[in-house]
Amino acid sequence: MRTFRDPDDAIRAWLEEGPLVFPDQNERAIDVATQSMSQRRPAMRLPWRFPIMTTLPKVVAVGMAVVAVTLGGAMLLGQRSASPGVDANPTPSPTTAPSPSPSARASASLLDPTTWAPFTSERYGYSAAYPPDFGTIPSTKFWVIPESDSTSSAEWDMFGRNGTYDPTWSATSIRLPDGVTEDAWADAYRLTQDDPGRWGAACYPSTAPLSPVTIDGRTGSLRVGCGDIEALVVADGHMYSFGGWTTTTTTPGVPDEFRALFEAWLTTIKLDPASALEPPAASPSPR
Amino acid sequence: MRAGLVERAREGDHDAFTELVAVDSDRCYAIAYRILRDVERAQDAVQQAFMLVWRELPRLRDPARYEVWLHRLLVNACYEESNRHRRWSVHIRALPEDGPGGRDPEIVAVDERDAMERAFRRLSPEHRAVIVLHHHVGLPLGTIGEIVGVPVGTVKSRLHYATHSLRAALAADDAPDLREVRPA
Repeated sequence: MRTFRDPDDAIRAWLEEGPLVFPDQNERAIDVATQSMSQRRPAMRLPWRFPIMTTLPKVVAVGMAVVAVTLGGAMLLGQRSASPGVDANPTPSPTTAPSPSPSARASASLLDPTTWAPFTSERYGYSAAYPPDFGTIPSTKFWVIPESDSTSSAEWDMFGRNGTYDPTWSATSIRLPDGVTEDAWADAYRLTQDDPGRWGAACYPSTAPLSPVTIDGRTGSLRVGCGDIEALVVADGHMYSFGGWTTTTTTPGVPDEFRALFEAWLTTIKLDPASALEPPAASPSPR
Repeated sequence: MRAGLVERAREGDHDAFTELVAVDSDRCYAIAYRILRDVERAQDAVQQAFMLVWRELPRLRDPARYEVWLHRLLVNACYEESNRHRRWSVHIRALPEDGPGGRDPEIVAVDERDAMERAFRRLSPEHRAVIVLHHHVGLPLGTIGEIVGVPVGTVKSRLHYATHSLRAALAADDAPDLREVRPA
């Protein structure tokens, strides 16, 4: 007959076994990845939503790819300039070639949705397209309102620029409760967003100016906040939310380029409420 | 020291953040490994958690809550890792033959660890997290509740269930061999 020590002691002793030192290369990976990552400031919308959680491999891979391409390109150019007779049409030196600014690049390539990649939501009944330098993280849970103090972006389909997820777009939908009008729902929803811990009073969603917006032929409302923007539109009893935010400002308004890109995204959206999944239990309506 | 680093990192001081990582990463790694039972996934979870820390730190309303907040991000990262890789490896072991004087104490220890490992892997990530935070880190139940986002009663319930499962695994491993019959 075996004699065991106290089971709790056995559990503790067993838990003591295992690695205790985080490898240096992993610390360096964190260092490299965060150096190019901007922090999200408190006045932004949805402070606990963060889509980068599952994208570390992407971030590292993209970062390494950028470095590799840059170094490779530089080496190639260096070789060419060192062998002037090889190429009848010498490649301009990178130091003399005019380099478009980031905003110019965005204007030239990102604002043309015909070059964007398609995305179809498996949960929320819409399809859209996103720019080539963006990534996506589909939702894994249904949208719940009021939003939880969650660290996960699981309730939203997320789109964001690779590496920084700035800007980030989000998309979701929910069936309007019976007897609740679109305007009443939207007003109540925006009130739930007025969290003093997140916003200054000047940035409260419930008091932000609204303007009309058209998404897939349906008219909704567009709210411009403080570095964030959100369009609400109804289709066949489903309320859709399409939002975006950026870290570049925390005061009322959004940068022109950010808004232009967001509005270009809205033009790609096709609503298909019939394909939206129903949550297992009805999500509570806004208070 | 940590409070100062948190304040500086909140203001965007990346060097302070790097120091924070150095201060906390070993402990986070130990926790993540014990929840996930996988070195690479634990490393990924810690990296994800610290990237979140950097990104979201300006929104931490009370810097004094940093440690609980960090643990929360870490446990959530472990959950995500676990969900992404539901491939629990199957451990196959050869049963030692008992000698006339009973089983070798070293083999008993190996058996005990093996039984514990298998029992632990059968637990959900939520149960593992509670076990690790309680038995390994030594946190009070209230703090664990804050970290994993459930009431204290749920923490107690999970802890009771998980501990019971592990104890049962040990007890089963101690029982006479009904597990396998080896051919003579």
